[in-house]
Amino acid sequence: MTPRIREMRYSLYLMRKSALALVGLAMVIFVIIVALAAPYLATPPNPREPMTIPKDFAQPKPPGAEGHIMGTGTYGSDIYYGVVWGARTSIYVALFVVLVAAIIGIVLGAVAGYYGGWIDEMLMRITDIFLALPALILAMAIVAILPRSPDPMKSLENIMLALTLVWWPPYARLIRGQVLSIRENVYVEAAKAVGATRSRILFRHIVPNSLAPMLVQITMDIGVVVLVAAGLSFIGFGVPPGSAEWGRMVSDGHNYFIGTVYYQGVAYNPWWIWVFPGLFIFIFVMGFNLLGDGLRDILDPRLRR
Amino acid sequence: MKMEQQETLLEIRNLYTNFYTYQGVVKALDGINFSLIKGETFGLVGETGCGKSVTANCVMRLIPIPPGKIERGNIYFMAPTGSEKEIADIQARIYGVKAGAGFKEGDARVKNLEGEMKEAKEVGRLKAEIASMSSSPGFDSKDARYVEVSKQLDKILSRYDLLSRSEDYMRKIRGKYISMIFQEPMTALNPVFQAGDQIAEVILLHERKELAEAVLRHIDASKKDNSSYHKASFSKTDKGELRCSSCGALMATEQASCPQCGASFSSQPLRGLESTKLSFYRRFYKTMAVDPNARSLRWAAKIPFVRRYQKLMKQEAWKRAEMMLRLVRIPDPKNVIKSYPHELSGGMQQRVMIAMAMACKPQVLIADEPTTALDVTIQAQILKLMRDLQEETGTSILLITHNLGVVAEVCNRLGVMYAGVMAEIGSVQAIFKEPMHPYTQGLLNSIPKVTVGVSRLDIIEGNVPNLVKPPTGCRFNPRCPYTMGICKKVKPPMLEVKPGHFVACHLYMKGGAS
Repeated sequence: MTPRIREMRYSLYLMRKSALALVGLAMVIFVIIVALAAPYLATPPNPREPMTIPKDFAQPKPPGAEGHIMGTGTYGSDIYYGVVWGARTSIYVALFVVLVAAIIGIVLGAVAGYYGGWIDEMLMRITDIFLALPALILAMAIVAILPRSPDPMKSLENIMLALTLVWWPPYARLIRGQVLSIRENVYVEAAKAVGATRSRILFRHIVPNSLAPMLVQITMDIGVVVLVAAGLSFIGFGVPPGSAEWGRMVSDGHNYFIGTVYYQGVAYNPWWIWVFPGLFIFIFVMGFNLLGDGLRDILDPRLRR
Repeated sequence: MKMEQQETLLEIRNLYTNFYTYQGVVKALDGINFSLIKGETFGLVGETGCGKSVTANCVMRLIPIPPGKIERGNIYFMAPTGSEKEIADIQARIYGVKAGAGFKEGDARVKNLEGEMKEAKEVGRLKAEIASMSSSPGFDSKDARYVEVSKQLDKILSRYDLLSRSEDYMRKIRGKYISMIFQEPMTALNPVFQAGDQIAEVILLHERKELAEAVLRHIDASKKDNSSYHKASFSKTDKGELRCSSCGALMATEQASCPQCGASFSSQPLRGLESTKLSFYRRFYKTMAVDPNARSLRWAAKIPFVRRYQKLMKQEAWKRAEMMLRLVRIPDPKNVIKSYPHELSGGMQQRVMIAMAMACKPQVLIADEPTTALDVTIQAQILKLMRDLQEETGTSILLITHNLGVVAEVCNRLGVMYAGVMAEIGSVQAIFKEPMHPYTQGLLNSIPKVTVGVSRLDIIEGNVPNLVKPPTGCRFNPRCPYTMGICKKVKPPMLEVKPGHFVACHLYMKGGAS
């Protein structure tokens, strides 16, 4: 058995021992399966626009109504369909934003930390500018600038772009700090002593060693990005109404948060409109948070053995 | 003099290094002079903070700049010495090339060698002239002819000065010609790479040409026999076991493929796809064998699928890494090569470190306290290993240590450093038998001896001075039991008291100059 596999098995063993991490993993896997199987779980009426929820323009129906397991929402949009396809949307957004932001952050942070001097100064001041503005407000501003589109995918791209732009600065800071401490290690000097080039030392020797805290941060952030994206949708930035996006769907039900409302004299409480998408947001975010916590314990070399 | 006959490989002349810190300018090296002779082990001893490691880092040009700065001095590496032996060597090499296959009139190699010869002869002539002038009565160092000759000599030598070289050039020197072993192997190995990766990295950095040639040989062989590239054969050992020719794994019975490296034993024909792939890769290696840093190769290494041509080269490097591990006497190199540093013991890690340093058979190996972090039994093994490797490869070793026992064991010559200056240089026997400098005497008296029973060991009073404000004159004067008036005023020059035995101390000046 090669050491690599042995290490991995040991990591999995540690994972198995941590119940919470397993619960998190199960939640994450559940959402991923839902997203992958979306076309089978809920067949889109128009395959070219799967992100638009089909509606029957009737009154909201409670869960269990015929053909609508989770009921219908405003304009009779199928909640179940929205929740299932919303899983895809969320994973798209989360992965894209976090990975692109991580790549930008790693490259800028590593270069700033390793080369130091005016390069560091310049890159970090740019980072500071981004950090000085509240992330959500900045993201809102960027979405507002970008052209709006009735197409859910197009507007989703706006959200992804905006979030990526506000998401990389903390990563750059994190990696820079790591690089600053790791570049003092003797093995970096040893790499210099065998004649490695500067970029090779940085990206082959320093960066891989500084990725562990990043990995934990990324895992946790996947959940947070979904939360923020949902928040943006909730306050009306981003996807148009009737799109399969959890935040948007919760927003559709925001009139009924308070409980029973009277509409033309009829008592009315369609809780399912916001509970089901909210529940999925909860599962997704909680899952990645628990997983990230578990990973932190597993990857920490001090707690490892 | 005897030393002239030996070939000087590395010469450090008048090296001054400062560190500009908040507390002030730390004058870490104050005119260091010594030379390393081909094939010898030179020990550098002294207390902590006296500049041993700084000297080593200066040679490698690894001083962090800023705060450090090499103020002046020269480090000549592989400079022509002008000795008869060297000239004869070059002559032999020229004959070798001329007698070898594929020699044509006006061969570039011969031209290069002839250039070297001319330079060596010139250096020899200039050196002889300087020697005759300085030994003649009424010698004046301001004599016009003398100044001119030394200028000419410096001009030739400056081409070999590591301190005036570019960073790119230094990168080629490091690891290939001069390499380094660090004190603590556990911190000097990168925790995220396997041992094989780290050794292979050195080979991949410096010996691409050789690797490419090896790969080409393999490709051509497999094309000729029309057999798979990864084909291996097995040979019978004395015990009747079968040995895989590609990795050396032992098997009890005949098998279709090696259980260890996966090489196939049945002579599989070269299939169409593999054949095409090999022909495709062959082009790259053909280029690489001529110019390992060709731009086309660098671009190809970035294109998906095309970049896979590097795989063969990497396999070759791993094979050589495994050979290196065998060379440093690691049992079971097959497994060790795949282990991460934390899975190895300290002694094993240091062996991997040595394998890394020796991977390209460097001319100079700088060992910065290689055994300090190891326990005593392993220390002895590592020292023996270094000596064995030295015998096999002819590498010169610059050994930095506090441990005088280690020095006595492995070194030929010894340099004693104190507070950034060289106090004494000589052969180990001479210094241990008759230490001249008071500091050396103090050092030797402070180690316990088996033969002499003393209730209390001698110590050297005081500490190494703060090098921001070093003592004037001789830097050892505040701690020296024999301090005289002149010691506080004049820095003692290096004086050859006996042949090959140099001391920088005013105690020995009277008989000589004044």
